[in-house]
Amino acid sequence: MKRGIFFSLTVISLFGLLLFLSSNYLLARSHSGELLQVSLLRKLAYSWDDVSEDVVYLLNTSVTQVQNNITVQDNLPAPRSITASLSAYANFVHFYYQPSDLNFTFLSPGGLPVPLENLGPPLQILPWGFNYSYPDYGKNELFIQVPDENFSAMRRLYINISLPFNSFTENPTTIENNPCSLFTAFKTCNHGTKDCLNVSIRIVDNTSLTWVNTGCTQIDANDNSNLQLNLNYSGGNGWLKILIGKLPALVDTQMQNAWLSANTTFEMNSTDVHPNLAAYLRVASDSFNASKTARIG
Amino acid sequence: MANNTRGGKHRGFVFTSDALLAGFLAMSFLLILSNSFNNAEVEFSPVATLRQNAEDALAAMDKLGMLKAAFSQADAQTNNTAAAFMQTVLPIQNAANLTIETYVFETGASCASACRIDGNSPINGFCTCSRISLSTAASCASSQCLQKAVATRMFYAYTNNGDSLGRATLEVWNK
Repeated sequence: MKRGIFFSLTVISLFGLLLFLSSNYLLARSHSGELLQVSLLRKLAYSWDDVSEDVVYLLNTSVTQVQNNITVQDNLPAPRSITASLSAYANFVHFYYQPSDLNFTFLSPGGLPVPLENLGPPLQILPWGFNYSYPDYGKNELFIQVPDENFSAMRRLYINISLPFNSFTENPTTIENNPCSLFTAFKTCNHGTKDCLNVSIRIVDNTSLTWVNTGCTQIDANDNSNLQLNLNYSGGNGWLKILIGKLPALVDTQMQNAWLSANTTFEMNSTDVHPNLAAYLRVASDSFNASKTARIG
Repeated sequence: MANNTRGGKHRGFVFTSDALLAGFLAMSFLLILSNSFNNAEVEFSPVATLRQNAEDALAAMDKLGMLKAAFSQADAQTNNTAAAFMQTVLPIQNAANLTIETYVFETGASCASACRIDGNSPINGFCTCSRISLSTAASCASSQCLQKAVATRMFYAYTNNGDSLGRATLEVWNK
């Protein structure tokens, strides 16, 4: 009788021990699974960052943000075929980089897969929906588009242009002392102006002669103001036009036989702004059903 | 009666063996479980840490422009800079092997003379221009390499040769 009780207690104890150890083991397995997930997510984020950083660089633009100032450095027209570079990069990712367990997909703003070389327009400032774009990656024209309802999100616009291969044809006295006369159309702001653009434009030619829009820094964004600068280059004549207004077409920079190194700074009202490409990159691990999808930038 | 006594003795012996067997099984079970339990944590964590170290080191080198410099500077200079940087950023108990390869995109049928490391013809549209490899330790013994992490990073620049791309691979293990 006593022996039976002893055996029963032994069996119950062993069974209890078995349950305890099993639950511990299951907990350990689940902890290990969490670590594996963390490691996988790190790998996804790391690969995403690697490709995303290169894509911005491929577009031959540099985007920096210092507090509420976003500056885009650009060369217009594009000095080389950006489409060819994007295509080469996509090939390299496919043949030399893409880990076997990861898939890279570029997505349009609508979420549709697109070839890397078809991504565009290049840049958006979120959450305000400002566009910094071109008709194509040839960059023969630059558009800055601002939704009418978000115009007040920007405090000031700075356009700094350097012309390393062109010189002004205008009289230097006009360039330096009467800059506003080079606007072929000009509408300044008054009390009734709904959207007044505060803009600082500075253009330097290859002789260091500098045109600055002193005296015409406030421009009605709902009307047309057109600046035209005639230029020379080693092969003949060219020109640069900066057309301002009407919203949402805030600035349209056109050029012919002119080569621009342009810095455009958006001074926003708050620091809560994000420059991004209007495209997404998705890095996915099919085997673990995990992915990272985010705007490139 | 004698049979009963003898049978009783046998029964006692059987029960004792039974308890011993149960005890043995329980101990074996416990040992197996504790082994599995330990393996789940101990084997995974060091590799994850090594991989994190490798990824962080490569990302830092990329963002500081040290990888892109491989397109323009001599291999020896790239080698020295990278070796010094790895000694700085990797934990002292880690050893590493870094390989940096540079390629140029080639649309023609043959590679430029400076980019023929892997042959005269482009492979998948790319010609190999340089391949350097350096280690912070003499070699990786087989037992150490069981726990080795590998990270890869791409880099791009437009150079005189055209679209130039690179791939850096960093292997890290504990010394």
